[in-house]
Amino acid sequence: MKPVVNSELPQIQLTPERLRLLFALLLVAVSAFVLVEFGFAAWLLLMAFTLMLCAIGFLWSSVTTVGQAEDITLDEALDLAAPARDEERKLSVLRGIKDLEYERGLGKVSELDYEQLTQRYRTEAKGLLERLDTSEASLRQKAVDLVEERLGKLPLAIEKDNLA
Amino acid sequence: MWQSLPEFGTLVLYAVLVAAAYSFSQAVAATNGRHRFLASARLGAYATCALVGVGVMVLAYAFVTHDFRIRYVSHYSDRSMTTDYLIAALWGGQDGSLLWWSTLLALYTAACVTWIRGRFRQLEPIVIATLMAITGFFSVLMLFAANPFQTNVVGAVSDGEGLNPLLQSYWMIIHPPMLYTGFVGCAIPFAFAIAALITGRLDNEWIVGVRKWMLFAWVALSIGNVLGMVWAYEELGWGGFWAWDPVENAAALPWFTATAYLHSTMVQERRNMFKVWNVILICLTFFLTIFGTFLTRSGLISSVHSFAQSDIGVFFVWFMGLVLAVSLGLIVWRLPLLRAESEVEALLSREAAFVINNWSLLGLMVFITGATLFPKLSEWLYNETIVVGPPFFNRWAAPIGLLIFMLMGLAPLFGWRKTSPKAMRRAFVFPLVAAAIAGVLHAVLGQRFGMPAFVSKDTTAAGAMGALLQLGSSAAPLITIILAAFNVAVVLQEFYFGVRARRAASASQNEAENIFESLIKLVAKNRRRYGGYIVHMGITAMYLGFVGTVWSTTEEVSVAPGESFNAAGYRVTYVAPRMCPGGNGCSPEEQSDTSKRMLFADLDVFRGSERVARLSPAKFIYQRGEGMTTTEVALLRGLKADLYVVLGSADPASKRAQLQVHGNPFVSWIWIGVVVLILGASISLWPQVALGRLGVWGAVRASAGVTASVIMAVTLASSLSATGAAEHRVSSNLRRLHAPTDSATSPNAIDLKEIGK
Repeated sequence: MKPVVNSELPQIQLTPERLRLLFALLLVAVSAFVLVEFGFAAWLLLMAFTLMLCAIGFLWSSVTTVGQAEDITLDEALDLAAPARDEERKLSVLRGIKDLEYERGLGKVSELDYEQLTQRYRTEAKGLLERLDTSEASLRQKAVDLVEERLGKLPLAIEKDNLA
Repeated sequence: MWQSLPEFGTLVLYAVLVAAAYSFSQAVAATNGRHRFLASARLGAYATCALVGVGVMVLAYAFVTHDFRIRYVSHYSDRSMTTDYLIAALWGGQDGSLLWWSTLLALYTAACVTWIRGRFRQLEPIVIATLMAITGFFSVLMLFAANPFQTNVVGAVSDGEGLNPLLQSYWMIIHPPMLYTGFVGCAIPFAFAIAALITGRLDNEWIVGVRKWMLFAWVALSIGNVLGMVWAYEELGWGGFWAWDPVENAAALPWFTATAYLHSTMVQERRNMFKVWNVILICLTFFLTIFGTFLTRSGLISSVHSFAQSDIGVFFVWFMGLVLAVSLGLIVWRLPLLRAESEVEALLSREAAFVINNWSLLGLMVFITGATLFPKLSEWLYNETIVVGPPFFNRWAAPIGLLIFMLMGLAPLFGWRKTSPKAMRRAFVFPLVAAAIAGVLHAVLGQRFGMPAFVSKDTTAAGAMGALLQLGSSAAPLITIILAAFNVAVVLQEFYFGVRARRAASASQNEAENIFESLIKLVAKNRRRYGGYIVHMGITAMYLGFVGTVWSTTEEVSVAPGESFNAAGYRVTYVAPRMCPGGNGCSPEEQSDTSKRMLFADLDVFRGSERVARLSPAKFIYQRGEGMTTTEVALLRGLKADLYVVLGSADPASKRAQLQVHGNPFVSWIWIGVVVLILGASISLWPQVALGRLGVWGAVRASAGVTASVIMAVTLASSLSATGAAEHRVSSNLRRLHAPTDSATSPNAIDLKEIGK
């Protein structure tokens, strides 16, 4: 039986994450070699040299980043999506409810206190959820519109391939 | 390259300053919401960190290759030193320790900048700016007051002066870095506090975020301080572990405020209270780390630990002034936003216990600061120097310490807001019964085991306060034992209640769990709470070690070969003196060590008829440092008591030895306590992450975290047990440990050389 040969090997994409990992592995291998072959002093020099390269690279990127004018990247967009004040408050209230339940289980909170506190927390959580829902509705719609607009610009062939 | 290494090092320090200033400006520009500037500041911060790394690598290279053109290298190393001590010399002196401080700050900064991304968008620019400002300060300090790359005026010397023998200790390799890790770690919460105050984002999430940073720093501070105790105990040879030396005190000060913060933050998270307390405690902790560094380096207060005198004190004064002014100004400005949303409703509540706890810890910190600075204050106020010694510290610190110990047991028993009488009865019965039984047993049996419940103490204070102090001091052992039993019972009860509640809940869902399964899941689901309780167990063990000092015994013994004496429950027989290298019975290492002459007094230690150890207290006479003499402690550890022997002298003619013999009860419990503390803190610090969602880097980070904490605990535990019957050197002359060794003189050196002949 003739073996089936796949002429199209799977392509490994070099994402920044993979590049970093590759760089770290390479550095570990080279530094281990230098340490064993040339001794500790040479290893220190290698580390100093590597750190100097990193410093230059970071500084260069830092200076060029300010001058860039293109669209915001996905990473940057995710950065900007840090939790809002209400979102943080919501987390705090939910944590409070969880703690209260736990303390009740241990018998450290009387039933009366538990009822009062849980009622207060739940009312606040409800208000926060409603507020978040309202305030984020327009943003959510805007995001959906942008995604649709971007998808609309993509070549039809890719979409078909993906569907298949 | 070789010819220009010192200049290159200095150039790197300039580059650090420039990069820090650049990153600071980018971060400030990013506060207007300009994302590009924030990204630029982030990269700039990484660059600054990398440059600091270059600096420390270059200095380490200079040490390893014996580049004696550099003054710092020639003062703190010589050609005979092994690589591990050459690396330890990096932080052995003032200039290098500042660079080491900057290195740790760089590591923290890089970790924080990576971690903060996407979490606290509004705070991030100010956090980076604050950290860069601190980095900038240290680079200014190095460049203009304590440059570790400064060259010798006379050019390269043929050999260096070497590291002080007292610093050539295993503990000295790990004690300063650990202490600095704690000190520098407090900069991250401080940067967050400044950012929260400036932006007005003073709600609870930022405080939840920084809690782990502070906890990590607190653990490092705890370990660092305990390692300092181990070093003092084994190396300084006066029989104790804490002498209330100004530098020891300075290292402990931030620990108190950090401890207060770690408890106080829980109240803010749960009840939206104590916001003012928390920002003050964070800022104060950072301030105290700088103050401690200032105290060590400025020469303000005389201490055996101090670095050589220098003029860097004025830089620190300006920096401390700036930190204080900025912190206080911002807190006052933001007071309306820091107002509590609720208040303490009952005295019998956890909030109330935490308020008292905060005040007690703060009070202890203020007392120690005041007493430490008293010689200088008295000089300013009364024109005469009044020194307060350990008895004064002990008299006042012990009652406050016991109050804190009591609160440690009480607080977990109370509920938030208020505690109902029924809940009080349920919570208190078992711990009180356990405490009462322990108290009665101690009062009845303590004397028989050489640990009486009451000891006689004289206080100098007059009147009712004097009488109260007298009573408190005398009963301190009994009170400590009662409180220790109370604390242990509280923790056991908390675990028991937790397991019982969990088992009941799982049984009601038809998923019954056995006790061990419940216990593991209980801790896994509530790491912070139960990790904290384990830390309390560690602290309890340490308190046991502290109280042991009241029962310690010291005696001077003069023995001829073959004579015996009893100490700490052992029978000790003096065998003979031994001089190495050259004498009979020396090990190959001792025979080949030509850097010093060693005089040993060999002792056989028996428990009953069984020989349990051979101890060899010694005197070492070093070739360098004009014959500097050190005394080596011989130590046999035990859970009940340590046998601790110091050689005073040995007569070459009669071979009679003068020994100082200490019996130190329960000291080992301090070291056990810190290992338990590390375990508890590691559980608390453990991140709540599902393993399946970790990813490669997450897995690497998690593995590194586990490995680091396990190595830390195991190293500490194993090194303590390995040195069970080891010898340790003791300076026979009081001198500054971090000063270059050329200043060493030894009043005992001549006598010992005579004996050596």
